[in-house]
Amino acid sequence: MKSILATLFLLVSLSYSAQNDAIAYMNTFSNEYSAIQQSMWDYTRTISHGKSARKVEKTRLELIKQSDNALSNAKKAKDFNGSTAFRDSVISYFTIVNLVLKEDYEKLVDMEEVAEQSYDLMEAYMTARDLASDKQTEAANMIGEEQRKFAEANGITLIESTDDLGQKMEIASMVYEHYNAVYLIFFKSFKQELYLINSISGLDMSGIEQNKEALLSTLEEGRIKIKEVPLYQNDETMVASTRNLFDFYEEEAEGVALVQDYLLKTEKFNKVKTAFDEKKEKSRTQADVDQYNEAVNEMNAAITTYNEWNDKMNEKRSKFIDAWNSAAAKFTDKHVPKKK
Amino acid sequence: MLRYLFLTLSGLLFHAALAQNPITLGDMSKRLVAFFKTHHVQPPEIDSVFGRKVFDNLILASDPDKCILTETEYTTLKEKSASLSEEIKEGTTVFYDYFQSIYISAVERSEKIMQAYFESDINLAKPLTASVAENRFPKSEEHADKWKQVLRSSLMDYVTDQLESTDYELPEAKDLDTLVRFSKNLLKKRYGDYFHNLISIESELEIDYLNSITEAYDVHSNYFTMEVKQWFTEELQSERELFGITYIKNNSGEFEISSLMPGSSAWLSGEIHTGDVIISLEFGDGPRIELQGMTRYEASQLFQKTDSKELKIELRNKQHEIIEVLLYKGKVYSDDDIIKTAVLEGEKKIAYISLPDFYTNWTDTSSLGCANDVAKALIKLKRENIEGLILDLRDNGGGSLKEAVDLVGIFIDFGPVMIRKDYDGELWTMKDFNRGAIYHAPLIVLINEGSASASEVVAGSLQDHNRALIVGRRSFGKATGQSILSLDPMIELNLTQKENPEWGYVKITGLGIYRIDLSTNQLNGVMPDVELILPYDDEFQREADYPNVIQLDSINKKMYYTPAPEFDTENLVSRSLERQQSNAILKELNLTYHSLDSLFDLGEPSHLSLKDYLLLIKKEQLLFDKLDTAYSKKVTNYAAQSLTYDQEIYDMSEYMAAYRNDFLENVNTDYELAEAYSIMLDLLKK
Repeated sequence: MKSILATLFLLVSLSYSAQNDAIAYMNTFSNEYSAIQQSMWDYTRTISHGKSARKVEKTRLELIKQSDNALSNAKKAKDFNGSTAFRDSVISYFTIVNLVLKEDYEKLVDMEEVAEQSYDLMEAYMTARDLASDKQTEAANMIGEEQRKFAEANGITLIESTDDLGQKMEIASMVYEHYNAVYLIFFKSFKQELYLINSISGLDMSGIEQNKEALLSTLEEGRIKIKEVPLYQNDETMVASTRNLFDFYEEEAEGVALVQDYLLKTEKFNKVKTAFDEKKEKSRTQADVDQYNEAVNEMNAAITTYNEWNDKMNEKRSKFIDAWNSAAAKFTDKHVPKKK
Repeated sequence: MLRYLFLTLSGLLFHAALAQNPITLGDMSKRLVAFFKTHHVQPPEIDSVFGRKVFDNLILASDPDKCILTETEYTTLKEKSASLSEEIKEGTTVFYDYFQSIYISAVERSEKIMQAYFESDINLAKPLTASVAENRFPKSEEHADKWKQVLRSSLMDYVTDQLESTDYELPEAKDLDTLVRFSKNLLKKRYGDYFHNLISIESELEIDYLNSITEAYDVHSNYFTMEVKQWFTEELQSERELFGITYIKNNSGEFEISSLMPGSSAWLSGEIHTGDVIISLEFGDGPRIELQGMTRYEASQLFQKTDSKELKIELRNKQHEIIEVLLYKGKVYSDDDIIKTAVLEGEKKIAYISLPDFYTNWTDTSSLGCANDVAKALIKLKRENIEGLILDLRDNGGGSLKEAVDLVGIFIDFGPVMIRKDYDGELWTMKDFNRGAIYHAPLIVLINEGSASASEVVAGSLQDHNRALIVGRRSFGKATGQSILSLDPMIELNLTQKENPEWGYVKITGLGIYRIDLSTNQLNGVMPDVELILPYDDEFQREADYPNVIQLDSINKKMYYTPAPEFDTENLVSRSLERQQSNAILKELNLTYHSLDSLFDLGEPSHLSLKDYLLLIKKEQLLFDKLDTAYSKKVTNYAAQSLTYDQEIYDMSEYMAAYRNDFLENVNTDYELAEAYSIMLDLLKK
């Protein structure tokens, strides 16, 4: 969402007082632009008010199709009195919008550089998306600049005005600014917890310990960052549900010691058992038998504790993740305007 | 669908053709060259330079001491080898066939010289006067003299070994006569076996030839057969099914137990000890096989070829009792593979982890290898409140690269570990895939000239991240990776799942390894931040000293990582140097090694009389004893303890306890580790 909304409000409505052909030339571009804006708004509304995934995808594909057309029309436009600067800035903008919608970031950013700097594919994707969005903003600024120059050269007076659509999108943009900021902080810890769970199910002791440490430091970082996120209309629901989830993650990370205990005790039991089995029955002492029994009991106790803990964690995880999703859906539904 | 059918059909036809025509040596050489062209990281042109390398390799493999072939034979062979590169490409073997015939006759001639020599009267009181240089092939007329030198040296060595129990005193003439006669007969049999093995197993010479081709690409690329492949892949696993004994052939030609693997049935039986002599073997329901008179090769074949899970072994122990022990094949942790852990208790509590090999389960990539074991050890060690960690990679020859990357990941939060250049030229950054670190406190990595490959990846990467202080000596300098692949063309074309083992296998150098600062350890090794002084001259053979080594091209790639702040190396180095220069053990070792060097300069046993040689050996022995005493002096700055967490395992198993005690004893007498400990204290003081 961020990349689409970030640059929606840059072209201004205009009024004019001179040179009909210059105005007509400008209009060819602004009409295309308005149409795209409307489609983008439809898309924004669709995703903000709990519509089905199928409906969201359908709207996105329509938007891509429209941006393809806009781009091809812009490319067909001729120069104006020998100058192509304005047209070229529009082409460049539409090209970027088109690539961003198709998530074809490779053509916009140096993916090798992004991959080298990123920890995993998800981080690479998010970095690429941010970089692409920055490019889109730059391109939009460039159109504004070229439009101003074009108007000046052709005696057109530009008057900034905000229409209804612009206002709605501005609101949505502010709503999503909060949403995206919280989402990023949430997502990092969500992903880190997933790595931890994977290591636990792979009985990967090294992975468990590393991902536990990483989760704890992600939470620490997240708690600082979330304090700095500006609220939208003092709505704290998303922040609160993220904080609840963080508390759960912390409890889970601290509890990982139980998993390790279970793994180490099982390993120890296996070693004790091997040594015990290798001893001939008559040469086993009472101390050997006691030690064997103790190892069994220790392991069994560790398994029970681990299982109880695991069930509790699974239950809590579902509860807090559901709560987060519901808070996020309610947040956009409440604040993004519903009107077409 | 049609295309698929066609491929399957032609595949079947090809198989049928193969079944009718056995694969020839020429087919193999042609296949090798084609295979290496697409799978080797830097394949050279197959030209006269390449052909010359193959020739040199073949000569080195078949006559390493330059005493089987004469100068004339060598020169003729060299001339005939001019067409070798063409023959290899075309799959013909004119040169090889010629070589084989010359070599067989040279071996037979050498054998006759050997027999005549041992059947003659040999006067050990009189030194040899004639001398043929060791580093060149003998002229025809010198051939017998060159062999005499070699055989006389062997005889002198064998005789002196037998005199060890009498402190190398020269025996009475009559006793000496008996001893010499016995030794001559034994050596005659032993050399007879040696010559016999050189030419009797035709495929051995062919394997030498194929290896000469692969080693012309680089020293780490080899050709091997199914049997060797199995052995090689097993070597890289922590768990392998073995009876758990290793043996050597002693000077009396008997097979002696040289080590027992902890956890194996041999180890657990408690009845077998090192030094016991193996009399016979009985695999499962098979016959009783006596080992007397058997060659090493024949004995190893017995172990390699058996599928039996049970072995009845008959031994003569040190009390001269004959015992019989039943062993079974089981999964064991071998002595050399498993990580060992200790807590060094002194001014500070420092953890010590020794990792002698980067083992993994080679056949199951999802399973966990040594990095996970190190992690487990660290989790236990952290519970003991340690303040620093010394990771010992000395003499760790490498292993799985994945394990190396995972091991680095234990110590860094995230980021690149190494860059891999594949045979297609692609560069890949290998990263730590687990964010977070298990261990954050000060870390020292110990390396030496025997730390190679994966060890160098770990040391180099932790050095680039400034995460570990590297202590020791310049490492081996191998930064290439090998994989084991089947040569069967049907496998490469994906036309069959199961390879035809007749084609054999190659260990091929398919990738180059670079550090994240874009340099490479290949030929250079990892330079330690703080150097440990050797008590003698560094004469180690490192990668760069081998023939046909790969010099990796330089690379260009964007890399991003944030190293930790630098160590105050200058200060650490000067403090360590001061300590080492005044170290009493090092001084003692240094003096003794110098004395030994001057003894070695006195000459070869063939050119000394037995009396003088025995005097020399006596002096040597005294010096060796001195070295032993110096090496077994207890260090003073710490006492090594085992982990309390594992105590119950030691309580239960006396073998594991004995194993642990041996290890702790070694740690307590390791003066290099003691210096690393002092460096760690300096690090912690900062």
